[in-house]
Amino acid sequence: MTAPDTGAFRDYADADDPQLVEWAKDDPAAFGELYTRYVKKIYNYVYYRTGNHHDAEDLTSRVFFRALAHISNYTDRGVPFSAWLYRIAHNLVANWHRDRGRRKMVPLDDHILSGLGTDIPEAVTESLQEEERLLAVIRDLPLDRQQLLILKFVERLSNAEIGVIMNRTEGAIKSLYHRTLLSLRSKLEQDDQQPPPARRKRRFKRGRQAGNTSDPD
Amino acid sequence: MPLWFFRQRNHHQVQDLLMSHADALVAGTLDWEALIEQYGEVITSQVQSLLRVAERVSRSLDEITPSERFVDQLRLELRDPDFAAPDGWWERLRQLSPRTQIAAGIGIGGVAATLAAGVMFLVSRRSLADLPGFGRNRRTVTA
Repeated sequence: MTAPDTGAFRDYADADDPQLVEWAKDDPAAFGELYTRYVKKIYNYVYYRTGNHHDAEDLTSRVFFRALAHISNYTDRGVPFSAWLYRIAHNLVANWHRDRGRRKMVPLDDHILSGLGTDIPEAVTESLQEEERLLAVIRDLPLDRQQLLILKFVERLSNAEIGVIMNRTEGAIKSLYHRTLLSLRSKLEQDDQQPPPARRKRRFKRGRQAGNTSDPD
Repeated sequence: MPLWFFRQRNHHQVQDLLMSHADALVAGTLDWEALIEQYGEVITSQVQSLLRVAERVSRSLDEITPSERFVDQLRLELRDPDFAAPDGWWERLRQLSPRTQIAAGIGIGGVAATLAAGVMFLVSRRSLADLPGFGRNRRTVTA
């Protein structure tokens, strides 16, 4: 990406987000730097909300195209640029769920089973099944609770940052987290009372990177 | 002090404990002694079970790395504004569910068929009107 003929040297790597956003209004290279900073975070967010790499790639690209289309209208009201991106992502994912009516599909197999060889000891298999079960329970939670868990544990954001993105106070975030854990515990206990699924050995794929795994759909 | 006050205070302390625990898990700095020292009086077996759930969630939700091919390709596409097709009508249509796409297809097909039938009706009437004696017969009938 090339800088416009501004006559001044722009240090994109050292610039902070508000500065880059101002530059990005007429400078594709500045938008490129913002893209570099946030593509992985947005991808993670979308991946855990959709559950497969194909839709994660599709929606991530839509997030950035939309951001690019609207960045000239962006006004800094004290909300971080990242929060603006997450809100775009949240809206697109919500539309995706609404349009497709398939909130509960998502296998997430590649994520859980990646990085392992083909011969898996039974104990490891059980542990993977436990993890798979937990992710299934998480995907059954209301969208705001899923969002909170992803922002906290995947994106590793502070409560203040999560509060800005979710438009809630820090106190409300704490309370939501408490209720989310209570709900998860209750669902897991219900799940424990059901008979365990047949144990099975599965063939696993190597690689943690999205590109190294094949999409289940 | 009334009982509700202590309950409320405990409730807030539990929330603070859960959040401190989550932050420590994320940062990789979990220090049980410090947590027990600060929140010892509210760490009941019920609260411990919530902490275990949080630890399971933390283990399960790992960071994913998108493929380099995807990241590089999207970077290239973002450079060229003319490439910004995902919000175009065709892309929007493609994003719809198969059921909606079929319904849209039937709707568009129906509209096209109605228009075609209308045009054919007008053309056939016109060509009939051009036939010698067509208008006269019609007038005879109406009279």
